[in-house]
Amino acid sequence: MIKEKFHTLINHPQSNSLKFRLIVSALLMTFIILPIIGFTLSNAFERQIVTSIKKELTAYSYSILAVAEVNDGNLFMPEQLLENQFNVIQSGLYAIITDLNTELNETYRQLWHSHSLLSMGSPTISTLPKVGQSNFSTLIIDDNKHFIFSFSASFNSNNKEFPLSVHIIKNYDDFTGLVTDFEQQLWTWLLILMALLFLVQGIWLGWTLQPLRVLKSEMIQVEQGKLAELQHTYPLELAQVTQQLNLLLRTESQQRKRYKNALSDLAHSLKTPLAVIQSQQELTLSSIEQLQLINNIIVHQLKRAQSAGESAWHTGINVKAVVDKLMATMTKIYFDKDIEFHCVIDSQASFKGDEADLLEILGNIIDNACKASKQHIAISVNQPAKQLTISVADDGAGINTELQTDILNRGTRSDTYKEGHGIGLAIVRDLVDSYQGQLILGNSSTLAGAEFTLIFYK
Amino acid sequence: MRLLLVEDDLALQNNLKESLIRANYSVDVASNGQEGLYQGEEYCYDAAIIDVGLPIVDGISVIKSLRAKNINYPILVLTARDSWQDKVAGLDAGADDYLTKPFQNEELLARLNALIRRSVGQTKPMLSNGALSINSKNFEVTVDNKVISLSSSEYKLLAYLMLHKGDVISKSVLTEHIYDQDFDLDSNVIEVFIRRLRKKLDPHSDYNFIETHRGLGYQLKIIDDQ
Repeated sequence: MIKEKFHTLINHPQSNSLKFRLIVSALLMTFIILPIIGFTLSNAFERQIVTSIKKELTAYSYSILAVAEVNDGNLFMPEQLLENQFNVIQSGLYAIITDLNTELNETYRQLWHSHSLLSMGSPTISTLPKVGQSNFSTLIIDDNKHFIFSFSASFNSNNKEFPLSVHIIKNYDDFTGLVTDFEQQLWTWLLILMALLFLVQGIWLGWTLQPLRVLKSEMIQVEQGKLAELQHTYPLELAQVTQQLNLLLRTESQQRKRYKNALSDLAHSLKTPLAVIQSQQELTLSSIEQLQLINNIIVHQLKRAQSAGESAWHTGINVKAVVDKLMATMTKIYFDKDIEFHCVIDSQASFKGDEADLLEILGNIIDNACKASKQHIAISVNQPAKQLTISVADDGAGINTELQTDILNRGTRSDTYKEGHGIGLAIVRDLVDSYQGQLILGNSSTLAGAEFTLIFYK
Repeated sequence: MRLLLVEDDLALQNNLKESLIRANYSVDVASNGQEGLYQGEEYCYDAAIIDVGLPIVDGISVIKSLRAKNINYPILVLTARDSWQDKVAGLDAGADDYLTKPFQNEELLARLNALIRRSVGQTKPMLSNGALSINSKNFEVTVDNKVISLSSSEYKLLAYLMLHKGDVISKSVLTEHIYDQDFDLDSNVIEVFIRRLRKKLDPHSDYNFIETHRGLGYQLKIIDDQ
């Protein structure tokens, strides 16, 4: 049962954290080990005290025996004993001498008792040790607990054996007082120690886990695109990991850049000759069409190849910055239209992907909207849980359902390009697909034109 | 109108220059960024066409340097890199429009025409002043709806005056904006062209479109449309 509970506890998702483990071991140390130490110490102290009491009582018994005299079968004791506690009534230290009836062991006669025992109930002694032996135990007198040490000896008077037992009885109170005192001290200090340890462990925990906390926050910043790489100086154990991570981030972006540049150069070297051909005067309509087709294929395929896609490591891109750049660009390109942008943009919204891809997607969509619109374009960007939604609406003529499917299907195969149809939306669709996003076409409810909605899942 | 064309591909440069000249522009060419930057700073152009991928100094840097020196004529960027990232970078650097290679000459001319008109605050391709109007798209000049046939130099002169109507423009400015750098500069030539223009546009001196301000230059008077 307990084992099962323990298993469910350590398999709990929360327990799969360093913090949890450290806290559990710290609590274990403070609240289990320390009390065990406390109990052991107080136990040892108690035993030590009992031993010393036994020694003390043994010594008293010897001193009593030393003053006892036996004559003609009679015991003579001095009126006053050397140890004053035996003479003071109810002092807490008492002595009794009984005979040792060896034949009939069950009864005994009390031969003498110290003055201190006067006016107290006579104790019932249960064990009488054999001659030469001793016994140490406890007994109750008047409902109070006492230690009792019994020692039996045999006197020789007139060649006659006279066996007797000396019983030294000591009040338990001294002992209880000592032990209680000690325990009070012990537990007070242990509690202080616990509190101190708890505090120290808390600080130590914070100190040890601090680099991990920094790492976590830096990773979040990298993901959101606020940092290019991890910058904090990490402790040795983490440094290896963070350095590798930085290397990965760096090489990844360099490789992507190199790849993109290579593809751009390829596009450049293919398109300049095309431009030369097209700038000639004596071109027939069909060769212009063919040139356009070749160009479209180059553009589409190279862009598809350039897309970073979802698989690569991505830092977050601030969507607002990209939209702002594009709006400034569109304002220049469509200067004559005097387009008004109406924006509702979550400034924190971020796109997990390549900036060039987002520029391409939004550039094409906003460009389309600018072409279609009369004057107004509405852009909204919001970021509900685990999702990024961008929508661009215009006040143009809108698109009918048939054309919507046509636009979305266009360019699925490279030989289906038609002259006069922009390939921008086909590229957008490919890019959105590569990020497993969604492109939804519809008509705007507010501006009456077309509305393109992009949804990216995180 | 005088243009600067910076393009490193000589075949494309030649073809473009030819079609621009046919469209009544005076064209200076440069084959690399450094040369383009020098010319762009030295002469007062009406517009520049700059390729992005240039040797020595790339097109974006050329545009940035020109804009940093407060040179404000419109710039059209030509680029084979047609991603929006490149377009945004070009326009962000200070260009006013872009055209991706390959393009059709008509497209280039239309964009250029629009840019130049836009730079002087004209938005329509038809420029008119009273009875006189010119169509910057097909270079047709009419007075009282009668088409007037002008030579290329005469058209350039009239178009420049029309774009800056009301301003007094000196002979040297006219020379600078109408002829490319290879032209033999002789101020008498402008006087000759002005005389011919007046004769063709207004043979009976009914309108007096162009006024001479002695020692200052010429002015196309603003005439209200009735």
